[in-house]
Amino acid sequence: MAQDSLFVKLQNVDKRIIYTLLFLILIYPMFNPIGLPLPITREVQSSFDFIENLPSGSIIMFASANAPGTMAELEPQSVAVISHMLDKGHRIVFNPYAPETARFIDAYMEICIARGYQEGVNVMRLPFLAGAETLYAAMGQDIKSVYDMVPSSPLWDSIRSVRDFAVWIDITGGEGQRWAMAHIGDVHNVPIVSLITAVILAVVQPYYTSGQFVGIVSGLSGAAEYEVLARAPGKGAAGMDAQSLGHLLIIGFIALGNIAFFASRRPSRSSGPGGDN
Amino acid sequence: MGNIQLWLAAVCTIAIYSFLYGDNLVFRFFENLFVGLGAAHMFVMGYESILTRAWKPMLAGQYWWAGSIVLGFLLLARLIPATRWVSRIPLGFMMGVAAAFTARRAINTEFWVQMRSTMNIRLNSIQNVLYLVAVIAVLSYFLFTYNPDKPWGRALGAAGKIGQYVMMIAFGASLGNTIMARLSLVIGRMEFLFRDVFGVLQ
Repeated sequence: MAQDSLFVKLQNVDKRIIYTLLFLILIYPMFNPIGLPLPITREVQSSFDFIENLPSGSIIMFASANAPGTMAELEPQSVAVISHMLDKGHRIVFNPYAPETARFIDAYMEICIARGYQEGVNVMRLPFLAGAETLYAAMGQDIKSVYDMVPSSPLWDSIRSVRDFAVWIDITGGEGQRWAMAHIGDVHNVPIVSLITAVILAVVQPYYTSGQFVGIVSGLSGAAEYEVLARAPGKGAAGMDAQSLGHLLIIGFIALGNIAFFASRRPSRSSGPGGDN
Repeated sequence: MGNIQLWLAAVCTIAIYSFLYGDNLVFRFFENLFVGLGAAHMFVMGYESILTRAWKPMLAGQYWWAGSIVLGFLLLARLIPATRWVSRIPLGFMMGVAAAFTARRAINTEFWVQMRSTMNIRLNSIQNVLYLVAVIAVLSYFLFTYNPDKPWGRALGAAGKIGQYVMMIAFGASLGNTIMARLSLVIGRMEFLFRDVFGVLQ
């Protein structure tokens, strides 16, 4: 009976105990890094390889819908990819297509300028424009007329259409990468690298298999992998120990809960035909 | 970020996470504060966008922008019960545009290209073989009805069963990724608190 009671208790652990354990297990590796192994996925490897193999000075579109709700994942990815592009000397066009993204672009511009880039020469930012998918469709048709308010500069003047981008990097936790695929990638044969939150990986993965994306960087683990490839450890790699331990704890709880569930369903020895059930 | 901003952000973070202990007044206050801030930010960005994309070009002689401005204002008609029906005109227009885009995307990008690439898949790796088996199994589950008394019916039933398991694995992967995303948010906030605010993390 005492055993049955334990199994029932294990199925009804107070959520505050779980959160406290999770908090402790997440905080431990922040102060004592463990250095758990981090295998590189082929999606991240091909994203890195594609940007790595572009000729220096290639023009890259960095279209971002990063927002406070997604910044824990998309920010380390963005910083890792931008650092890599700067190392390679690529020219970057930042394009915020979500209302909250503008302030993130400010920070990216500062990173570029601190690395010796000049605004208008090898880096520039486009203003936020509303429109979501209609904006992508319009950019696909004629990006210059969509952003006709952008003043002339050597970088902007060297772009005539979206075909001038060597790669279109799309950063989002929503649907942006599908719009890029439908209106830019599939129509104009512009390669697309998709930086996404981990939640939507299962939805986006088939587009990599079909070749519609040349690469995917997903979640904090994707950021960590990219940092490892670029040999520039940052926030992504720093958070992966905590991430892995957190997952282990959750797997442990799931296993424990299931064991307790099935154990508590065992038929009692005293029950059965003729028993007192 | 200045000191006051840092501490304000720290208070906001802790107040929001206080929900983990239980629903409370502090959490609800900060939740409403976030919603309000978000709405205000969206309003300002939207206003700026309308100003630069429609209002200023209209004043400069591109009068066709007046149409979209009027349609936008008609959306507000739903605030008055007597004129609520008017808001259906711009809504219908927006839904029509969205449906057209979605149909185009669904047919070409998400159906045709996906189908073509699956048909052309090269069976040169275990991953690709599993991918093809998974696609056929899931299609079998959704597309076919079968007679379990016939051998081919049992085969289709078995394929459908495999399809069910494939979908369960996919949903499990999605859940795993969701947990990863949520943990990333917690880790991000904890790093902010311990590194930027309290300064105890290198």
